[in-house]
Amino acid sequence: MKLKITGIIVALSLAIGLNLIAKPDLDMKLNQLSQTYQGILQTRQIYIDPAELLELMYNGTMSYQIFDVRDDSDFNLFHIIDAKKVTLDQLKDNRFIKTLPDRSVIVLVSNDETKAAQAWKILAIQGVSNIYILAGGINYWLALFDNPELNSNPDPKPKPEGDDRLRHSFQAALGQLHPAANPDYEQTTKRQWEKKIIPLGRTKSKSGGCG
Amino acid sequence: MAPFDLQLTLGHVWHNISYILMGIAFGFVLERAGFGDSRKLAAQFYFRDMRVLKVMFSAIITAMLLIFWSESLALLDYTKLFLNPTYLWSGIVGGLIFGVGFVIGGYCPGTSLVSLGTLKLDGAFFVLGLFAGMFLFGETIPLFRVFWETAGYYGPVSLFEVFNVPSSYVVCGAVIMALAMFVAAEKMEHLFSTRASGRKNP
Repeated sequence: MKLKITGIIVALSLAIGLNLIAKPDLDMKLNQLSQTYQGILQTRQIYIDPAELLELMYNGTMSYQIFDVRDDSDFNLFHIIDAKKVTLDQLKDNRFIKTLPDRSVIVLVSNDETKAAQAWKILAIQGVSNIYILAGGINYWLALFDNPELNSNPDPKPKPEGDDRLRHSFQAALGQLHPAANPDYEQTTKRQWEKKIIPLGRTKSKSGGCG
Repeated sequence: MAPFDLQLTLGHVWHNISYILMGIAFGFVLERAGFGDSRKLAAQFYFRDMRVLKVMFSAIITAMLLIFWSESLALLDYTKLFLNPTYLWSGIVGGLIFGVGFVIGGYCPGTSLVSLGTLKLDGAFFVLGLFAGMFLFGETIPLFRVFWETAGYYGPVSLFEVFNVPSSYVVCGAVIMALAMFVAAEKMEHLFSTRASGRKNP
């Protein structure tokens, strides 16, 4: 009997105690997991070549969503077709995370890569999967697809450690009406690139069962 | 921070061996809890021996407290845990079939293997039935694939997300519910065991 009462007291104390201690918020988790995620980013396995994104856009069998995390003025000047503008604060909001489709590839875009990498960490920490970053960002995309002369060997290289400023000038704010917002599919075959996106499998449960 | 990648930490061979060791430990605990005996398991449905409810609820609240305390102490990344997706309607139908099988056979799949492990004949027959059922399911799946894969699909959801409350509230509620059920189970055991023995010895 004493053992039962002790068990009840321990279980209740632990349950009530859980309500009294502070649960780590997103920023605390970001600090705690910063090194782990930095390690994943350094492998560059989640950075996709612009040609791979272009292939994805023409794929038709795989659902995808491009999230552009740049500021309003850069987004209005130019953005990839069908890209959605989001802020880092929006990505931290659980209600926004709930709206993300389950079976979809997410591609994050910034002018270079720094801000997209921040966005990747925010989504990854909330358990969102199938997230990738556009290698070299919009600057690299434009260098490849807005300049036919440059779009052959030797390739311009992405600048992972860029200052995330838009380095192209535009005559007008064309947004997705800019010709480079939706390049031809044949551009994917003009360059060599490594495939990074993992095809999405079935969703049926892979574990479970009774005792 | 947990969960750890065992394959990366232990290597491929030890990763697989770790599953075998965990399975043996799980089977051993089930056997010691009396889950290798169909009479004790079936007694649950007659309210004479509620050990299934008590062991299962103890396991649930122990794991729940460990998981959410670990998360609060930043020892575990909860978002990295695999959660079974919810298929509400196919889950309900499957649960009913499972329950009927449990009442008739006296075992669930895991406990039948525990019983077979201790060379019980009824356990061996139940396992044969289990494989026959799996074969039948596999052969007839095209008839109900759409229902199985889509009926009431909500993805991986948790109660605290459904009710939009902090997870600690749900943990607290589950612990209180479990403790109340333990007390109720003991009272029922006492009541129905007395009735049963009264019928045997008038």
